[in-house]
Amino acid sequence: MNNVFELNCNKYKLQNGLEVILFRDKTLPIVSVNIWYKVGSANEVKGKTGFAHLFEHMMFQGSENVEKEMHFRYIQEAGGTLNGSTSIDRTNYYETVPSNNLDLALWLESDRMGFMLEGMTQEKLDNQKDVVMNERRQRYENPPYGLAWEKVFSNLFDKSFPYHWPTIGWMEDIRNYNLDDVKNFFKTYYAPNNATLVVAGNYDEKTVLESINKYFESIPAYPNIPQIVANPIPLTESKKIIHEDNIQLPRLYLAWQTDKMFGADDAALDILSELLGSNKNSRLYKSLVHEKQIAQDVSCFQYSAKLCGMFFIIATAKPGVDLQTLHEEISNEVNRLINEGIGDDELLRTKNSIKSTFIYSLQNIERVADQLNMYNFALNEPNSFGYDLGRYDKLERSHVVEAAKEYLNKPNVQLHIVPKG
Amino acid sequence: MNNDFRKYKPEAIGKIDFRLPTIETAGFGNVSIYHAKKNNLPICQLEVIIECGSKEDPDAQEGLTHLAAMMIDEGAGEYSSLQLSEEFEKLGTIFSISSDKDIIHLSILSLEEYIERSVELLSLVLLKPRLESDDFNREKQKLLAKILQSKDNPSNIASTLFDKIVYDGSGYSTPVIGKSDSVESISLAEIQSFHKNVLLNKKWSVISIGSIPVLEITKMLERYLKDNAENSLAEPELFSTVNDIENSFIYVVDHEGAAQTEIMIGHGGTKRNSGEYYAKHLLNSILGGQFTSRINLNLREDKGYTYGAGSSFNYNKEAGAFYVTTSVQSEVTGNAVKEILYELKKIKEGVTEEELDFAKSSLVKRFPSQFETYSQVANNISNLVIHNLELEYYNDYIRNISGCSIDEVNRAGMNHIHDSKLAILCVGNSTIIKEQLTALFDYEIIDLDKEGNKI
Repeated sequence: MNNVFELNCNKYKLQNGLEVILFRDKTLPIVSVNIWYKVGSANEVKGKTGFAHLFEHMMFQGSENVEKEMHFRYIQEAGGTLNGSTSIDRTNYYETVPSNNLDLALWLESDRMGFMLEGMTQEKLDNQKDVVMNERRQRYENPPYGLAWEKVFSNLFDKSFPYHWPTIGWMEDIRNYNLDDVKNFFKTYYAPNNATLVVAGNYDEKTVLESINKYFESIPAYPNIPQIVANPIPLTESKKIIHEDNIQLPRLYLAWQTDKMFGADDAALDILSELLGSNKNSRLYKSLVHEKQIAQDVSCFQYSAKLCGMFFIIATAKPGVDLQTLHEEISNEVNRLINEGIGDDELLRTKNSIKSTFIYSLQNIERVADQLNMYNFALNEPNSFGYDLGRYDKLERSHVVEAAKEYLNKPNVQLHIVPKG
Repeated sequence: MNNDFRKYKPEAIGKIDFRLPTIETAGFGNVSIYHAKKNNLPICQLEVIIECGSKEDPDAQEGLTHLAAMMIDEGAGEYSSLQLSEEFEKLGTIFSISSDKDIIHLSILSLEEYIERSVELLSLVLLKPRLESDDFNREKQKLLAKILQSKDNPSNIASTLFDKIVYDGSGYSTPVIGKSDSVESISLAEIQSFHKNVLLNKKWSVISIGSIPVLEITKMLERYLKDNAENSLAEPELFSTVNDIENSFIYVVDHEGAAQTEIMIGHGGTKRNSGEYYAKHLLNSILGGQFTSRINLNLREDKGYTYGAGSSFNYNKEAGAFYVTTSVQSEVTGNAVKEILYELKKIKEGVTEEELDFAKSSLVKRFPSQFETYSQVANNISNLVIHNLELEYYNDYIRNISGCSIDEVNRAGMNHIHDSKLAILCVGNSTIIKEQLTALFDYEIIDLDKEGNKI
């Protein structure tokens, strides 16, 4: 069974520094092109928050040889799907197309990697600023509890640390972007030597590298791409924040600074989050939702990023229950885990779940392509499925308990979202 | 370096080779089995579709089916609620139950080596749920809190009230999760009776995707589900047709402090298997089914009113609906509605050959990628079962899409988009919304509360 995790992929580097990763899978006649640029909202500066994400929008607005809307049209006409996303650490772009149309996706990606500014106009920027301001309203300001994330991040990290602000950006900053910002950002970060191209799926082995070379090798590298050097300043005391929202049931968010992605304690924190809040049998769910019935829901996860990680526990109160009661019960359960340890069976079934989830995740070529890019970004080795799973398989009970003791006893952010009035 | 080659879009190279999975059928008693072979991973997906949904919830007991679906895995056979969940977790099997207006749906994603044990646990849930009072009280309170929370989310409010308006007078008008007072009134005895008299007596369809041969899966299912095979099938209930609106009306729901207006505009429509499906599908692809459709290009890429806008022909088993949906900045609500009405009027004047060719190309060429994951294949087959479509449906799909003429597509626009009989629903800051709508339209404006009652 373990051989399903050995993905036979090859990695190359073009002369301009573009990394290329090829993974062949002939299950279906489709192929996925997936590019990661090593730039995210953490690269932004004061007054320009959200710019990495706005820039992602601009990348779909055409380039020298691709008119506005045509990027979408060409891919959709070919029967493909496409999108992009921005996180704190990176920006990705992807197309999945019938395998006979691989060159179309390579052409589109190369045209905007090399010649994006030639297609830029003030009108396009103004339009996408409106779209993104509406995205901010639709995804964060209008939904219940929608502003929780930016409240947590901006309190967990001080202003000097680049995870302080939300990826979507502050509204005021979005309003003020100008065309020079677009040009400068492109000329700073959008270069082949700051990107990795994954081609995964049913491509022609004989011609794929030739096509990639044709479209990408003449795009020049940039001499100096700025790198982020930053360490989070630990909280010296816990911060309690109360935010009123248009909701019925109060919700508590607890957040701690933790170990970064693939750090020594990252996997232990993942397992800890599963043990505490992943399903009906997890400790917090069992206690708060099932037995005491003081919470409507509870969830828990380790969000690990390049510069550091964050551990979250989130619980919504039942009608008539206050957040202090929830908080006390959560602390009781965390302390019980730290003091009494965890069971072998508990750990084993969590490991089983993680392993099968890994196998289930291999069904979708777009997702596999993105995962190869993620491994390459974090570990410099795309074929890391086996290594990644091994981190969990090898974990001992004591490591999980130690991680809980080390991180969850530290000061944290306690965000209370409560009904208005 | 000569960059001339960049000026030209690369053409596709050669044809692609795609073979559809074959659907094999089997069955016993009131269980029908649909099986498609897939063996690129050592996993197995199993879906059980039980033909009972909220459309048949009795008056004043809305939410009964949903609560029953929540209850059947809260302890079954020798296992308590938590033990049962633990048994699935030991296997690494992902098990879930959901319910909608037409069906209860149970789903298993399992490693192949554990499929038999997963089926055994599934059979306990279906045949031997404990349905005990502690579990019932807990789940009922959970559902009541969920109903309370559903009033927080403007897009939720909009879709619930849209159904209430366009399906008025039928079982599709009520929310799947029920209402506070109806759920409050449901007793454990009623859940037990629902399981015994309704759930066990309905038609069950099992869809299985994996490498295990159909014969083996059938034997396995029969071994664990045969206790139910002898039950008599309940007759499907006759379904009254949906409400036909006489004129367009504007409905406004106030959502205090809203940052945007949720808009839904549309009307009731025909069911999935009632003809003109392909023409409607192509029409909608041009109007609002894709990123580059008319509505999104107008409202997002031209006007910047929204993050996204689209339209859909949505199908329940016995009736459907057509709607445009978007979420816009409060200040442009009136203009956004105006643009949507303009697009609806315009689409009835006809599409261009170019638009139609584009839509056909997109749908036909995208077809193979719809069979990638195990759950995609399972969902495709589920659709055949739920909407009573032929097993050859997917074999004929490309021919049917390609064969649609522009006249057929334009006729579908005339027949299925009724731009003078629209429910125009806006959820948001009602003061701002109404001021704009009154200035722009003559339609009657009806104020609704969040339950859909006229104020």
